[in-house]
Amino acid sequence: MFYRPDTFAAALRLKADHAAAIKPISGGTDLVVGLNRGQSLGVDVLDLTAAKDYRRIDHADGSLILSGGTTFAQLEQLDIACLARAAASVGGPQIRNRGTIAGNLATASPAGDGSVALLALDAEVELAHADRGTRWLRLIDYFEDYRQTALGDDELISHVRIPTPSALQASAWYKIGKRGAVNISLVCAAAARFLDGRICLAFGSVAPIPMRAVQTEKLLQGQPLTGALLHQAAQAASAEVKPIDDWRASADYRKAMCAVLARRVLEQLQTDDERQMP
Amino acid sequence: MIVSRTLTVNGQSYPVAVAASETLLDVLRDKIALTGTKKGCNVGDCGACLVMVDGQTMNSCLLLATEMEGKSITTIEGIAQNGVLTPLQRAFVQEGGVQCGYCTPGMVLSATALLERNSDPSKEEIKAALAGNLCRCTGYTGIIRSVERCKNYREDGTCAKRDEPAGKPASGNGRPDLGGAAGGSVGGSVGVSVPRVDAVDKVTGRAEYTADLSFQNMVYAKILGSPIAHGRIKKIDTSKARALPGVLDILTADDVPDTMYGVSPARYDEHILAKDKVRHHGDEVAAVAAIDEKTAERAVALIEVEYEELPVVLNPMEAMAEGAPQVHERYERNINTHVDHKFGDVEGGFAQSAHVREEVFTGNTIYQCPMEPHASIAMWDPDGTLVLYSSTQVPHYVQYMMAHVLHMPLGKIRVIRPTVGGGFGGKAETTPLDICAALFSRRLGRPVKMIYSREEMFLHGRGRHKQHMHFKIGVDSEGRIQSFSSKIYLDGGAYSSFGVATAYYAGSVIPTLYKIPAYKYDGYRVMTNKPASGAMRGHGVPQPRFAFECLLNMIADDLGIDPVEIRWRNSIDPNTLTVNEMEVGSCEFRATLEASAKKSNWNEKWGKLPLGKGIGIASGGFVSGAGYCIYRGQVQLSHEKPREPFVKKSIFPHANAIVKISEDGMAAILLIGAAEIGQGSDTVLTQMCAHSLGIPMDRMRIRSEDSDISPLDLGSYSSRVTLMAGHAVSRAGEAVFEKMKPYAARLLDCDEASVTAQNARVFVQGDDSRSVPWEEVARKYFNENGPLVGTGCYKPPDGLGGDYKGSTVGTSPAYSFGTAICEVSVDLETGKIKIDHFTDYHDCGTPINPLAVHGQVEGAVAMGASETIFEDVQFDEKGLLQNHNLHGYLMMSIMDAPEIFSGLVDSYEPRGPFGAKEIGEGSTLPVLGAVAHAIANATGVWIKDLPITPEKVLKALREKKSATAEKVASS
Amino acid sequence: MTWHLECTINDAPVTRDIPEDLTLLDFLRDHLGLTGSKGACLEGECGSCTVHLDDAPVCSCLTLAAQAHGRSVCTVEALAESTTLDPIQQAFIDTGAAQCGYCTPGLLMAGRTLLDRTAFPEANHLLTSIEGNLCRCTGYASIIEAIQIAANESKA
Repeated sequence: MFYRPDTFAAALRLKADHAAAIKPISGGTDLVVGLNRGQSLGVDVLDLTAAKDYRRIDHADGSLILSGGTTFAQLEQLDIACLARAAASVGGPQIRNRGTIAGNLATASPAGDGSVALLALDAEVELAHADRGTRWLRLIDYFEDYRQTALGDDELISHVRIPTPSALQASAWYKIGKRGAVNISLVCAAAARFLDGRICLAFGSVAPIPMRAVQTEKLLQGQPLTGALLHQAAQAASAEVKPIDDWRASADYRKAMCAVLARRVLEQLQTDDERQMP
Repeated sequence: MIVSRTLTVNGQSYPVAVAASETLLDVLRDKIALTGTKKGCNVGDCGACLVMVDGQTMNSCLLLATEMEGKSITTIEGIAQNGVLTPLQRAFVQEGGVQCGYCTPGMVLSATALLERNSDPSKEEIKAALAGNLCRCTGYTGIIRSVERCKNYREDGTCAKRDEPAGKPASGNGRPDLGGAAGGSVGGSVGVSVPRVDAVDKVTGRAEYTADLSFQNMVYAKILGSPIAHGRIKKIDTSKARALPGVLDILTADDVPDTMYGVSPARYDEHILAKDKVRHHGDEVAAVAAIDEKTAERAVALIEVEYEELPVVLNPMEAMAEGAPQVHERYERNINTHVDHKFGDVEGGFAQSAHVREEVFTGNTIYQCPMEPHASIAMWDPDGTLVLYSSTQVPHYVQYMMAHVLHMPLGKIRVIRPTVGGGFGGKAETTPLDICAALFSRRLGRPVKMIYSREEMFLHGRGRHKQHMHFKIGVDSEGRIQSFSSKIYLDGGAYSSFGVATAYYAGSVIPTLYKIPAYKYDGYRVMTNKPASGAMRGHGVPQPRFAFECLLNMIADDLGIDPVEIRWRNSIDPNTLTVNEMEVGSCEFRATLEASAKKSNWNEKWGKLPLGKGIGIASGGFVSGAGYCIYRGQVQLSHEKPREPFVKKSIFPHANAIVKISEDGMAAILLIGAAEIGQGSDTVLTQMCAHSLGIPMDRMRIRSEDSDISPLDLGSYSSRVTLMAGHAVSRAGEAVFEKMKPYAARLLDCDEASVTAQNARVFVQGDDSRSVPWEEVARKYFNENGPLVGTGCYKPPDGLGGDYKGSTVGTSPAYSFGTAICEVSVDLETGKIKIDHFTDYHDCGTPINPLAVHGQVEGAVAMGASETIFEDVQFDEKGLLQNHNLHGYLMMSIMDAPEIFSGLVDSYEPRGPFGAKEIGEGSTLPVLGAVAHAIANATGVWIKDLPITPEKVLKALREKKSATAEKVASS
Repeated sequence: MTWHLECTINDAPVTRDIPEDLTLLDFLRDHLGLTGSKGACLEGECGSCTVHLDDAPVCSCLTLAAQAHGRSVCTVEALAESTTLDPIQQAFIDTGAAQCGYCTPGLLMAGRTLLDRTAFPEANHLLTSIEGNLCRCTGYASIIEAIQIAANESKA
């Protein structure tokens, strides 16, 4: 069956009733690619693109609340540097018009650019159930293992909450892909500094999950970002990540790039530099 | 006093009554209502009122209208014609040359006048020309940028930033008048940038590719590929697939003709469907026809095949070792082809060299990746004729091979080539789709459509051979090449495909660029458990050319010679027989060196750029069509042909054309089998034919898609179409005009020899007042004789090539030359490479359609640069493809494509139609080496294996650093 | 299972019962005969299948036809009005931006969006608008030029 609810509440009801037997679809970059390769659906489909209340961006309680159905094209327009730039680096316009932040989080690819940016922003994710209600999780607790998350079979990602620009001092993004567009990250890094002085640093494609470099972050707390500290942080980040060799790049290269990228995003934070991504 | 004046403004006559004291400005604005011209100061200080008077810029506020009688005035309204902006106007919009806009009309006119008298002004010249125009908004920078952007725009405004050969000094070839052909027509549509004849269809979505076609009662089929790279087929169970509702038929090796096929006649080593053994991931094992494609896909997945896995061999050096797994029994030590060429005194040459350098280079596995996947549709006419729609570059070879496989005469096979979405060599052979569709269709009595998925395209393969190259060059103290030897191992994959030719090409086209007195080439094409390698753009030559150009640049560095200079010193001369007996005719190689160095400001950049920025140069050239057909003997079913000894001449014409004139004389239909695959052959052939007929292009149509309609042409490979098919269509046009001459002579009352035609008028040479409409003459012919038809054909010259084994490969009537200069930025921390700019000059003879030529060059630069730094088909240790899709196999996106300047040097090839040579493949050849050289220049390290990835750059930098540190420590 | 689809295709209302797992691309090509949109990778990498869904370019290979329910789809076939080409189509012709032509429909649709949204696109916007489209023939230069020309002519 194909379901096309026009409200998010109706979608939640369907998900609660069918659980694993129904699969949400928005951008189609996983589900439809499978179909195109000759796979059968095997499950019912829950189309979330008709729910108009699932694409909202609101400000509330000093935070920015994004509906799960917010597209990358919408995220590109936000004035949160690391998220906007990460969103702009996803696919091409055709993909960004369809792909959603909930899809990125639910797929939980280690290379999920949106997930990495949100991790650095210390975002929270709201998981919703038609009857049990909603629960908020810090994103750092949401990703569990390779493509495994805290999202239940009968739940949908309803919202993502991130600090507004007023709580956020600066954020930065850097991605190394193999080419200039429609590009999967070989390594990507995001960093954010909050008004309370906290610095968060996250990496993609260097572990089974999009990861926060918590050890490196500890080095940085409450310290001025001197050249020596940046160097130390770069080494720490390189030591902390756990990349693998694959045909895209070697683990060694990825580790080395984590050091470079850590330094670059931290430098960007420092200078609050809004320069164009290369 | 009021006087009557007629002002000519923007080509229009305006009778106006003007007062003696009225300024031109006021009359323009108030009496002719052309208010684009502005009044800024009314005293000649600001230039807002600037107009052109007889081509000169003047302030109209200072001119009296009464003075303007008989003069030609141009205002801003007269710049854009029919609402189409000039390039300069577009540039003003694009470059921020306009803000409030009040000064703009005067600025545009000043700059237009400047560009008319000087197409390549310096920044200083631009400033001087605009000195009389004031602007308050822009600070002038946007305006200067706008004008700079328009340098070298062509007058017709169709393309930007491109050079034309016109105006360059003649290169000494004595270019004859183009009208000399046809004994008739002059001027016309050759040498002109006209848009493609198929462009409207392509921009409206009306162009029909094979997969776009459907037929009544049509069914679909899919092929099952092997999941392993090497194994014996123990058992195939199709029962589950057969039981799936909607499945109509299944083919395995037992159901298809037991005939081997392939490309090179001596090496037919492919089964239609795998028999006994699979030899690479994706090797075709079985096929299913079903009512729709999805059902066919599902059924394919239900076929159960039991394999006995065999050890795989994945590189040619290992495959040649004793005891290595055998891919085919028939190729001992897996050696498919061995080339052993030696010309001149190689050892002596090295012995007398002042400097010898030897290096090892490794290429990559490149897949053509055309945007359109392969597709075939087959159906059978009631009389037993096979009708095959195929997405192919070589309709005739498909016809030939289908005849071979099906054991039927070629005459009973009709191949139709719908619009083809790119080939680059990947559609240059008969596919299992062609054969399986035909077989299914015969069994089912219904049209059958088959399409490869993107993954299947990679698995079917036929991409560029990965080559392992050991190169050695010896030079004298001034860098002049004394001797050259190369040893190359080509990774052939599992089947021969074009590989025999590839192995020869890898050696034979190297000496066509430089004077090489002694040359040794040892080549091995070796079978491995990978998809077959085939012919890709530049067939066999790009990787050896890359290696040669890199090594030459290294030697230049060793000797302290400028890389441009070392090429100049070694450049081959026109009319040279190379050491391996290739006949080079026209050659403007040195002109390409000079022009590209000048255009790129080489002298200001070479050796002067900061670390991380680099500039590099390489050259290249290619054949203008293969001298010999792929198969031997005449056009005939191969099984019936006696084994004939090779003779050094073409048995039959390689290109053939018919021109048929409509009965009212108003249209000419050109019939030729040349394959339009996106390179623009339909357009240039139409141009040449129109030219020789003496009619404009819009009276012509071309039918090139159907073997029932058009005579044989060997197809789009070896960059042969412009030269060979070009001759055929020109000659067909001439033949028509010859038939018209007696009728024209009667109508014009002159002798036949003095009849000529241009632009649909037939007239007496030297007296164009005596003319008749072209169609009138054509009708007269038809009235008396019936159909007005002319034919033309082309055979390559007899006797091309030497008398040694393999001497045919690399022979051609003519050779192209080119030089590319590449500029890059390298991030030394991440190794990321940005290719910033390309300057490319080519000698393609006299271009038939410069727009199309530049399109080929730009495409080749992007493709070549992409394969240098991004592209590589990757395999795991079991031989399974890892990245056979467009997100894993990376071709350049628009964000990666460099800025490209494409220029042409003045050249004329006596053996080419209208002096033309090739551009499609030669344009690729300099690219790889230029990129590699620029990266080496930016980083200080040479990467000798392709692709040059960030990871390799970083590794090399690190190794260099530690080597330097060691040196310091030990000293 | 089938889905009762009601949507607008090139301004014409379309009502069909379709398989739920049918992609928009296959629907357009196989059910409606609109073969202008091309399939080349079927995974959103190449952009050859780009159509407008409610005025936004999307990969029709990644969109289920059922997801077009209640929406408006525009394909390359609707760019020209009868025999009058859209300026972007004319510009593609003039600059030689269509070589083999297979990527062309998708590029036209992506480029058209840019022109619809921006009067005078900056260079980086232009590039971004078509970064999801791959072309193997042209090297992109003529495509960029064509869109620039069309941008100017649309507004001239």
